[in-house]
Amino acid sequence: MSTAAIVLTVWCAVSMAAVGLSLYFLFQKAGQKGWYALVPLYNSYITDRVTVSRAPMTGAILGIFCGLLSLLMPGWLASQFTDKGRLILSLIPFGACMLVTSAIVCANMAEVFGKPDLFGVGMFFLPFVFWPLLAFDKSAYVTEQPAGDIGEDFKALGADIREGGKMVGQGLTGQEYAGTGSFQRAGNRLGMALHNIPFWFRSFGRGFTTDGYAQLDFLKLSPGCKRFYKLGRAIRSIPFHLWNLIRKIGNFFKKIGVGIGHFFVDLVHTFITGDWKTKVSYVIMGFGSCARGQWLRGILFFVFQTVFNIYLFTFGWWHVKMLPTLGTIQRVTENGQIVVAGHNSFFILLYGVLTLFFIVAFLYTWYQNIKQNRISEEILRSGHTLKSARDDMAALADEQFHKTLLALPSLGVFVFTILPIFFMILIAFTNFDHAHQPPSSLFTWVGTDNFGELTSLKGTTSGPSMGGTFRQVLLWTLIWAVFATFLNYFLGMLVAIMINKKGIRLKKVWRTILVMTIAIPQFVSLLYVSKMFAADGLINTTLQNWGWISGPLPFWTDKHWARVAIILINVWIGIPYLMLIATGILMNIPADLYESARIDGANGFQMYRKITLPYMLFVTGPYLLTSFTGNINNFNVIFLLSGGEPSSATELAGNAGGTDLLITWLYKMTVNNHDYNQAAVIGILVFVVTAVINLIVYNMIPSVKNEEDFQ
Amino acid sequence: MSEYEIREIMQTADAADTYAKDGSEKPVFRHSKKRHERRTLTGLHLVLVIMSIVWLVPFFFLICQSGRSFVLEGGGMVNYVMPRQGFSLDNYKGLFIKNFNVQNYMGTSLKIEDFTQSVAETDIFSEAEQAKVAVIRDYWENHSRKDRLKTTDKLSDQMKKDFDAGKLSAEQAEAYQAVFTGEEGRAFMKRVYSGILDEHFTRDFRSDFLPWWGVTFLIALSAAALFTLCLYLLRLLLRARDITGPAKWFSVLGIALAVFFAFLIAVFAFKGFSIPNVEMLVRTVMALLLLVFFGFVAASAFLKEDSRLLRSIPGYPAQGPGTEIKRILAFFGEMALLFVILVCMLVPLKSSNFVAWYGNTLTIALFVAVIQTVIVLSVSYALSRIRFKGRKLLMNIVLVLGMFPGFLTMIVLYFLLKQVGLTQSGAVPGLILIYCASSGMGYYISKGFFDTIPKSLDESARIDGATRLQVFMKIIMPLAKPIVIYTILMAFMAPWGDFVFASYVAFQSEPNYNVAVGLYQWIKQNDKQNYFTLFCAGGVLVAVPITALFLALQKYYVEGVTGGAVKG
Repeated sequence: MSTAAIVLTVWCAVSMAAVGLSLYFLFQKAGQKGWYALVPLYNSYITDRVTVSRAPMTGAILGIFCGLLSLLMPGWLASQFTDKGRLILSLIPFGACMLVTSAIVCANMAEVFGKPDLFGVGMFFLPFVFWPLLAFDKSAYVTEQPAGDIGEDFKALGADIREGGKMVGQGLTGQEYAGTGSFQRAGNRLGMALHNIPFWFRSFGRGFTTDGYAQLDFLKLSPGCKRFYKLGRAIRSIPFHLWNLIRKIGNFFKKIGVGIGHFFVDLVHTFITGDWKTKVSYVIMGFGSCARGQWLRGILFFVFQTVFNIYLFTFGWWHVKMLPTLGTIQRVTENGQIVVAGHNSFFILLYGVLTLFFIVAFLYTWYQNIKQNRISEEILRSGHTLKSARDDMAALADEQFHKTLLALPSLGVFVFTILPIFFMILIAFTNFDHAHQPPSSLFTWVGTDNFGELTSLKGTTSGPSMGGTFRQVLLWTLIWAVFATFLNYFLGMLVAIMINKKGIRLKKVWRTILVMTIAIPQFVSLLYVSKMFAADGLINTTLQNWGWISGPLPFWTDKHWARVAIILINVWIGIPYLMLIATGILMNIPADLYESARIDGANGFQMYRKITLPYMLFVTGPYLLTSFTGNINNFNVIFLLSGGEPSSATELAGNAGGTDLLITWLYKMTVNNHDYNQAAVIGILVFVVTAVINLIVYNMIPSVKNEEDFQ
Repeated sequence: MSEYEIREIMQTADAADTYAKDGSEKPVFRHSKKRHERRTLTGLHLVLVIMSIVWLVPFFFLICQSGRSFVLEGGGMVNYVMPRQGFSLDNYKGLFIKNFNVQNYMGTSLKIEDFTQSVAETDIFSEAEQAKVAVIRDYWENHSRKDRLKTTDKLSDQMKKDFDAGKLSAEQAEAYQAVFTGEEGRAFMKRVYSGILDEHFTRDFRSDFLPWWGVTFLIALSAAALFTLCLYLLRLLLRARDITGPAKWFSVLGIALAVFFAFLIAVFAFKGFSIPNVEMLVRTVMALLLLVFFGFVAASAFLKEDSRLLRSIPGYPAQGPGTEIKRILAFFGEMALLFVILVCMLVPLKSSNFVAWYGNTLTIALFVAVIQTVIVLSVSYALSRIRFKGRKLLMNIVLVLGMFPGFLTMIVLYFLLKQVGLTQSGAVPGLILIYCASSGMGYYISKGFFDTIPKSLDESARIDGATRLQVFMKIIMPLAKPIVIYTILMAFMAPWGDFVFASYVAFQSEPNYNVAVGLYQWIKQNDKQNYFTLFCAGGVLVAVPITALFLALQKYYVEGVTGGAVKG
């Protein structure tokens, strides 16, 4: 055995002897019989009584329980460890229990014998010094009330249990309820619940009907009944909500239709009622504005028209024409020389789409031109003057300031987001994959084949089906998003509450330490941690050196281990963010809410449930939603940690791995396989999933609906 | 009621707690609330300590491993940081020799003495081979003084020249061909290198990592304590009027001795680890100093503003106007010093592409910080203040667009940018363009902030005749300092960690990667040597400025993230 182990054993043996001996004398000082200290479980019980706390007995029982529990270690865990490792692993919970219990006992003992707290700390770290000191010095047993007789306590406990049994049938309320022991209360609650069950079903049924309860009747219901009633109502209202949604969509299309109708009516009307300048403007844009003195606007319109015409007739029209076929002439190469320069499907699609957008933009501008004319006519008719160029420029800084501010960003968003997304949606309907790469080969429209392939369940000859893979990846994505968001959220909130608690010292230290984790760039932490858990990384080699495991733990090679590891590591990364947010928000909750609750007798957990939690959920509702959709697309964490591994060609098609999200699968398809059409399909499906979730949640979260309730 | 009566009532109220609710006089035991709370608090403190350790442990190892690069002495690889495959000697050695790519090292700066010595001493070479090497050595001795042939590559070049010119004897020619050319030569050199490695592995490799870090940590802690103490003493010294003459000089001497001892502790601790050369010692000490400085700087983040420790630092402003700016500057000064130490420590990085990557990312970050801030603030102001037609539509469109995965746009943009030449060698401007162009979509937080500024300010200014532009620049912007700083911070920090876009735009063009992609390449190469400690060093160099920036501007980050709910 190594020196450390020997030292540790000797230390433990000596401490236990010292503590045992001291307990003998301490029990005597406290008025109990000394030999009680030597009986294993009973001495914990007596320590309970002596130190006026429930901890020692609970701790001893819990420790034994943990020790027994380790016999139930699951096979998949046990198989990874050597015998030595398994032994130590099973001792860990037991050891932790014992450690905590002994700390509590030391602290309490010190207090009960009138020593300062630091003495208790000494008792914990150097037992063989301080326990005998306590036992043999002149300290006396000081406590608020003496330890009573055990016999009486047992009798009281027995009576409580008996009464509890009787209570099941009784259903006490109010004053009688408050005056009973804990078992009695439990029995009472059980009885009430059993009694209420038929009422719950009835409320559910009532909720399901059209009229339900009147307001006053509803308030009279018990909490359980209220819940079931609300459930019934919610289920009943589902068709109503669906219908609403359909109606909204219908309205949307109706509005579009009406808009188009108005558009045409407007055009014709303006043409008929306008003067000659307006009529000319239908053909030459900007003519009307120029003729009326608005030179700047007129010239801008005319230039735009010219540019558009030039573009369309030299370049754009051909591309639009080729859109339905996406190119017909294939490139032919002989001996590396291009013999026939074929069509490039990609650019046909790209410029074709661009031209289509241009056409739409042109139509819109043309329409604006017409409207301008009409408005100018009306202004002139009513006797005012038109705005000059200088007025226009000045307006850009004032009433039309939003145009100045939004012009460049909108252009950027259009070119770099809208256009590509639209383009990719179109790609999803082509066969642009690794076999059809322009410019050397053409690709063409295939309709919804890609979607069909992705949702099919048939396996191909080369492996599993794409549809099955897609389902698995989607499922894991959703599970991951749920865990990543909510686990982080609640744990982060817990940590924030913990740090915020009155009495915790060095608050800023704890917060700064956690905040430093945020400050360090995420990819550095992720890459390093991924190496730490690797088969040859820090954790595995350390455990191997200690002899706990014989082969490396399969953190990144086994699917389930990888998933759990990723979720836990994400918790490690995410808690500081949530802690920051939660701290900021918690500090804003008015303190008098808590005070009044405490006066009313609420304990910590109730205050959390009724005050803290609703407030947090209200304020961070939208954040949770954003965070959820962000986690669905959380590329960095998954890719840098596990690279989407472990991949298995027999289970998952298309290079997907066990921890792949939809988005990392997309990345792999794009970068490794060059299957752009499938990537596009997945992208669209991600959008659909995200949109559906957003829609559902937006209509449900209270911050949208019940603002008044909350206030 | 008199105070006495009130106090009595309160005491009976407390005592009432301990009596049974059924009215009987028997006292029922309840824990005293104070003790219960105290126990909870102790428990919570313990939990917090454990949490802090868990959170900091990986970074601690990161820093330690960046300072501990594995260097081979005499193998001519002093500037090359070796991989750290595992922590067992055999594992490491086996993997290294297996993956050893002679092409990289063929004839590079292997000193002739080491070359011949290795062949002579390791017993994997046959007599015939050793004879050949002896021949080569003779040849070398005849040339070395004149032609300065110190390393094998120069030697082989010279021999090649002579061989082509026919000046070599038959024996020498044969030796040359066997050792320096062709497949045979490559295999031979590989065995030479393996031999060297074999010998030096046994001597230099340390497989027990844990005692090393434990000692390091203790040393760092004690060094930090000593350092703090020195500063405190210095301050006392500078302020004390009644310490004069010899006493003062003794104090100064004491401080100097303390610093010296701190350094000595560091040196002694590593004596037992047989560091092969001074460079590694220096680098390890630098790692320690890094820990000390880091700890100190982090400490200054949480110390009270007028704490004695802070005031004891000469030049550190504690009060007065402009203190915040001064403090931030002092912070950055410390960080600059730290950075210099780091750079000295991480010299081997200069031989790789890391500097290029760093420069790229820094450029991108600076440009993006400015441009993105301007764009985001414009957009959020417009959407927040000005109720124009189509505003709701625009917000909804942006919302819907945001639901598409961002990477989707990358595929198209890559082709587009390629036409214009903004990919691969033009990756830096290309990336700047990509980040800035769509940044308008991230207006949400800024808009929330602008919403909290009362509209009456706007309106009163407009009544007084200001244009919207003037209102924006002169009234709103000064009020929006927190959100401006938050936006700049976020915009600056984003390019450092962006992997997806950067890896795609700079596809396989190494000098144009950003740090994230570069470090990823280092750590994920499976068929070449994994440059693990190199990654650690690079990671530290990236992390330190960003962390410093973040810690200094932490207040604004919290404000931004909580949506202005917490101001200041």
